[in-house]
Amino acid sequence: MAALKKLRSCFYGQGARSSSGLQSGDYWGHFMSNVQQEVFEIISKQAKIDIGAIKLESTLKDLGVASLDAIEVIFDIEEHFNINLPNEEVDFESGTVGHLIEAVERQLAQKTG
Amino acid sequence: MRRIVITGMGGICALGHNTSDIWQAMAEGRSGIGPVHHIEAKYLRNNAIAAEISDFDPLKYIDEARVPFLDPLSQYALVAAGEAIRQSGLDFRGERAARTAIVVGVGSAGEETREGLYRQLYAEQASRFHPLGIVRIMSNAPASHISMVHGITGPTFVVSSACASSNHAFAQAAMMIRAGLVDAAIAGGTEACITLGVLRAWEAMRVMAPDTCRPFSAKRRGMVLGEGSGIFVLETLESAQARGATILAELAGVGMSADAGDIAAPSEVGAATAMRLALQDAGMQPADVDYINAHGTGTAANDSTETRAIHNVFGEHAPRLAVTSTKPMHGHALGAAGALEMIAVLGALRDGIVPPTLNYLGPDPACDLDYVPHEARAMNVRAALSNSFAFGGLNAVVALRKP
Repeated sequence: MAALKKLRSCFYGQGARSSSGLQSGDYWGHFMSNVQQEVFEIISKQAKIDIGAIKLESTLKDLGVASLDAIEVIFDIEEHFNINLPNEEVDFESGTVGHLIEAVERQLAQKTG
Repeated sequence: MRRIVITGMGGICALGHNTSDIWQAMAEGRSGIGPVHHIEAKYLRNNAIAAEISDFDPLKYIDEARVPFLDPLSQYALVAAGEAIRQSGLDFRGERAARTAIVVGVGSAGEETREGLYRQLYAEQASRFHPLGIVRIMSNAPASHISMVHGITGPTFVVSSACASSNHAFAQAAMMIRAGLVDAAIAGGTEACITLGVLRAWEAMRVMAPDTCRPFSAKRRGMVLGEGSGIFVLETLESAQARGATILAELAGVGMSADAGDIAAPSEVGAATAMRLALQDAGMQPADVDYINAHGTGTAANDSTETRAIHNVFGEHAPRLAVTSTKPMHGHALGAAGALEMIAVLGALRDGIVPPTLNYLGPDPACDLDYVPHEARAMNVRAALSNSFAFGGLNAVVALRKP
């Protein structure tokens, strides 16, 4: 149901950017300290697990986020940070949350280049 | 039970605008994949690739007055149906018109028309909407136009099950012939899906290959879209023999199943069930089959799951099967996939040539069958399966036998 609502919000305009329920605006300038926290929050919301259960070395699979749910997590992260995570940066089999955060940081750094 | 044979085939895809050209390209192992040219380059990213139809002039095949009513989806279906019906020699004067069915598989209809008109509506704030939008977009349009052009008045409709649509169409047509509802059917599939919106939607699922389609191969990175149509004439063996028609193959059995699992991830059990049911329906043993035209999309998940399902059904005969995916040649044409692949299966049965799996870089431990990489193989094919496994967990397999 939540996923459906989220999809609708994407189709009907501005809702998508805040679909993760987080403030997307003012991460700039202090993103290095916040990226990890924000990625953890997005995953915890999607996987419906306590944020404390997420470790840097967990894979999305370990956390029970597989198939399209994992694709949706990546989409939420892209929307939240307004970045594109290329397929090469996302390894659904063995990539860890730590790797994902590094990839986000690389894309944010590139954006400010 | 009434036996069903195929007496005509027609097709259009990136490999050609008729089945002789398409089959020749398949036997030679040529690929129709290249940079996307349907869509303005400024909208594309990541070197977008697809297996698109080129140099197609609908006026060569379709009456000028009809063309404005047609999305490319229906144009392709009319080209393929025209070829198949001509080849079969059937005509629909008299009683036969009402004793013939039309069943066309469509994944997603009217994409090009819808995108064009919605762009005018949303982006260009057009004040008027084109009056032919509805009749071009409606999913049943391809079946309706085949009926109108050829004067066929029997049961006529479209079936839709994403990438399994064509095989479900063959199954539905076969059931109607077996039930005695009709004596012949025009069956197949059509898809015209290479639009910016569709391409982006697939990209977003992260299943599209940036390089090319490499089914069952190490380092495979996903699928590549294709488009086109394959349409076939099915009739009873009795009717074909009475007419002295050339029989291309017997459509011996069909098998269908639903995974009742994940909306996207494939299931070994669902795929194996459909294959097993097709063999059973055809009265075949695993050892009777020489060739499987695999679903083989080139995604990591499909190809390893399909390989396990084939082992599961064929047991010790599995390593002796030739298993190929022709998608690196004609692309993944979604609702038309099973129909384009039927051209490959009929060619293999008739000419004793198994079309190859292109772009193979080397073995993946999870894919350990004989995929006939790179080059076609001359071998006698007594019977074959054609697999289609759709998103949504819907599986349909067709079993064919040499006449």
